[in-house]
Amino acid sequence: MSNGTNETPVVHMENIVKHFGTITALDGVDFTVEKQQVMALLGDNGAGKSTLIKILMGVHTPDRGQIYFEGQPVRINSPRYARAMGIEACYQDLALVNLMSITRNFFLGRELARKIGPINWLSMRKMNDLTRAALADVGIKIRSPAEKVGTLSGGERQSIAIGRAMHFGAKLLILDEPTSALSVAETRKVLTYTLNAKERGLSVIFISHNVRHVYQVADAYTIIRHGRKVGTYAKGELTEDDIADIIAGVREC
Amino acid sequence: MQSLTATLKRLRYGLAASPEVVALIIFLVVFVFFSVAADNFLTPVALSNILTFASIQGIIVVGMAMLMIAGEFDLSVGSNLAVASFVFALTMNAGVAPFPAMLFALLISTLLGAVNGLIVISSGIPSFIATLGTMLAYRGIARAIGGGTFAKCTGPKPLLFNILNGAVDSLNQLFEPVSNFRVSILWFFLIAVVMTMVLMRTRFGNWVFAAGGNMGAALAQGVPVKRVKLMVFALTGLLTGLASVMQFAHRTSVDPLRGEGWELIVVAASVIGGVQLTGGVGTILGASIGILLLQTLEQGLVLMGVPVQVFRAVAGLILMLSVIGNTYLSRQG
Amino acid sequence: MSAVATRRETKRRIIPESPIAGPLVTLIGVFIIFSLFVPHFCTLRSVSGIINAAVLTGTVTIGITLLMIVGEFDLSVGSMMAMGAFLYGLYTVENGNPLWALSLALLVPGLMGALNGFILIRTGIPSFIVTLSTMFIYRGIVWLYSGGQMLQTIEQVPIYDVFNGRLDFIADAVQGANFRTAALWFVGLVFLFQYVLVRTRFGNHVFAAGGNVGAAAAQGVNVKRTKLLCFIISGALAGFAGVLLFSQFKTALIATGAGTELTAIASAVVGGALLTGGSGSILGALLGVLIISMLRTGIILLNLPFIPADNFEAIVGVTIVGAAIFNNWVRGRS
Repeated sequence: MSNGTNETPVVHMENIVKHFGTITALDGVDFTVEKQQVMALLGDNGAGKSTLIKILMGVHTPDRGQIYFEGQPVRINSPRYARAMGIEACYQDLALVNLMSITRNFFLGRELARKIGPINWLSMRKMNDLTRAALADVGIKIRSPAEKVGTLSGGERQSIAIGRAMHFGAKLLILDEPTSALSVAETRKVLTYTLNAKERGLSVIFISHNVRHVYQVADAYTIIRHGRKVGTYAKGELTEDDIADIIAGVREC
Repeated sequence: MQSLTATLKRLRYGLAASPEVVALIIFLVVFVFFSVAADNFLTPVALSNILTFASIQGIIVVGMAMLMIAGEFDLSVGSNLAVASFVFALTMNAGVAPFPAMLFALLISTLLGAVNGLIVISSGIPSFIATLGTMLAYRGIARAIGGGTFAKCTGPKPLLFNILNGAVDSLNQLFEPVSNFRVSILWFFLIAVVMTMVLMRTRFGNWVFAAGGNMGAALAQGVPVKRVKLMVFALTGLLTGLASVMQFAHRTSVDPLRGEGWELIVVAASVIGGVQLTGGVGTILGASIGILLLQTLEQGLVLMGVPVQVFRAVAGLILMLSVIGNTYLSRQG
Repeated sequence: MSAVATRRETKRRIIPESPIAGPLVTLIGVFIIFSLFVPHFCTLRSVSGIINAAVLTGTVTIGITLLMIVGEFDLSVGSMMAMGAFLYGLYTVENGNPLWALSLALLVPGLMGALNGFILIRTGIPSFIVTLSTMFIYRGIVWLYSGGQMLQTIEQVPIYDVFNGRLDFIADAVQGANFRTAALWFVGLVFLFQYVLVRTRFGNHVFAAGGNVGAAAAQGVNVKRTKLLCFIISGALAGFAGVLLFSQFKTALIATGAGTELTAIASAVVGGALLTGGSGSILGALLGVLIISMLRTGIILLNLPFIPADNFEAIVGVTIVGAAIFNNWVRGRS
């Protein structure tokens, strides 16, 4: 592991079970992410990765099992609750509203406003300045915070989502397929930001099909298959081919 | 040749950026057309009629534009208008003072809008289907409370009517024949300005754009999308009620067919003004230009002796062309 | 938690997957309830009246159901119905050629449907907006074509009896029975299109295109052509409904057919068609039309004090919303 095992893990999920009708998506899965760790979550389609993540995000509730966040037992009832705890997810399509400006996206749901009676009057100038500064702070340069997000490239959008999470003090960042549909240069940027996030104290759950990308950033890998955890391995324990084999079920480890 | 295509391209990008300009251009074209083709179009009477009638529909359009930006539709506004008018009329006829009667009518119309919202957010039925249904149901309510016939304001006109929609006599008397400028024009302007500020400068407005632009992203960022949509549905209902009492203050009567066909007009006005069907984009200014355009079209056609079917057909054509135009512009821009 | 889950599973398994089970149960239920509580409901006269009213809307509903299964809507069918009625009427009076009249009444609305489909395919605009526009545009065309006049005739042209004549031998035999030939045409069309839907390749494409466009296209289904054909069929059926209407009433008004589109949608939804597409049946549409027609007759006969008899459309509205909610619930959504 990448840090001392004495520290409480950021999140510890124990024996999680989730059914959807007659389908068992998760069958007693344990999942732990340490502080300041990039944990790769790997598995084929339908293995249960996204269900596990959605439980962390408050979209689903587990039928059985317990979740501990920073050592405390928690029930994550809604996305708002998850966000309040410090869990942020960056889905490619669900992170930003393309038709709105960077600033409006950056502060979406946490807008800075002056309260006049029941009305929350946006402090646009303050938010614009803060957005530019905050993004620069994590190494992301933007031309103008009033630009619509839709005009940016996929990698830039991804970076803004990550930058937003970092700025607002997320403790756990969930990146779901962050590099799919990105060019080589953009992929490198996103991987760099992922490592930046870790340096600033965040933990990251990195979900990807691309074992090579994962290999470059992850400190550890958890592999899921058919709703069960196959195992957790530290960086260096396995080669890329080993990982691919285990995911596909060719090898049991 | 090169510079021509370059300027055309720049023009298209420019137009895509501000659909309000497109709407304004179309409006000017229509205006000029009728100035030439219709007698008595360029008279104070006709022009004031356009403004006055447009202001009533415009108040509803303000709500519709916000609703469409949030990604939803409300096709029941015409029937809601009728119900509110009946409630207003019958409550006053039953002896209640005008101001409380107005508040009651506004309460009912807001409630009807909220019901639309509740149906949509709790059942997941697409809003245009749900409100097609409530359009019919509310029309039935209007018929039922009216007893199938029209309702009139009995007794002298109260002061409230003048406040709501009195004729601006000082201005009107200047012209011969007497023009028809009314206070509702002022109310419409006020409401449009206030709602524009709410949309563009408040947290709630940001949430409206987010809910319509990318509901998933908004939810992930903690925006209470369901509550936002419900509020915009209720707001549309409230604005419909306002429009109905103002209209009643002018006409002093209401029939069961009041507001029929208005759903097409308000949707068309918004679309012409640049509000996109998919949500997340649009301005109240654009929608206001849209309703002005449609009302100009209607009055112009009336002055030319053309029946309402043709007006509706042309409105339908303009709706479709605007959608096609906006989609085309935004795809390249 | 898991006990609740299994209970919900069993409930869903009890309601069979057949799309017409629900509407059939509803039909029988409504009929029984109304027969018990509504005076004169269970008479031959009222039943034949129910069927006659159902036939006209039902013909349009067949097309609407087809479109809903493929994932689209057409709000302009009412205007197409008027067009069909006018064309048929104008070409059959004064010894006109009945075959020519029939062809036109099917062709022109079919073309109107094709235009709807074409606009949808080329521009990608949602069908309900396209057809909301064309509903008014086509109505304007009807006005233009008819010269603003309604059309009425008292001629006894034989073809009228072919399409919607009274079945006199039944009427003579049994008092009050008012069955018309249109019912036979309608039932024939229902079985024809149910067969097409369930037993032909085209029908399979319709379900696929409505259920999952991407998957269908990936499997080589020509989604655009399938949708276009559905729009054309729906148009032709609306025109035929106009033919049946004119054959019965010998009248065509500018406003003919107005509101039919919503009744048709309501009937399709009650008959089990999903608003999201990919599911539905023509037999179900038949049941849905009968249910709605029964509701209407029942309400009229009940003569409730606060529900005026002409409040049929309110019932349609409530039915649309209620049936859609019910369908969603049964399929376990939201």
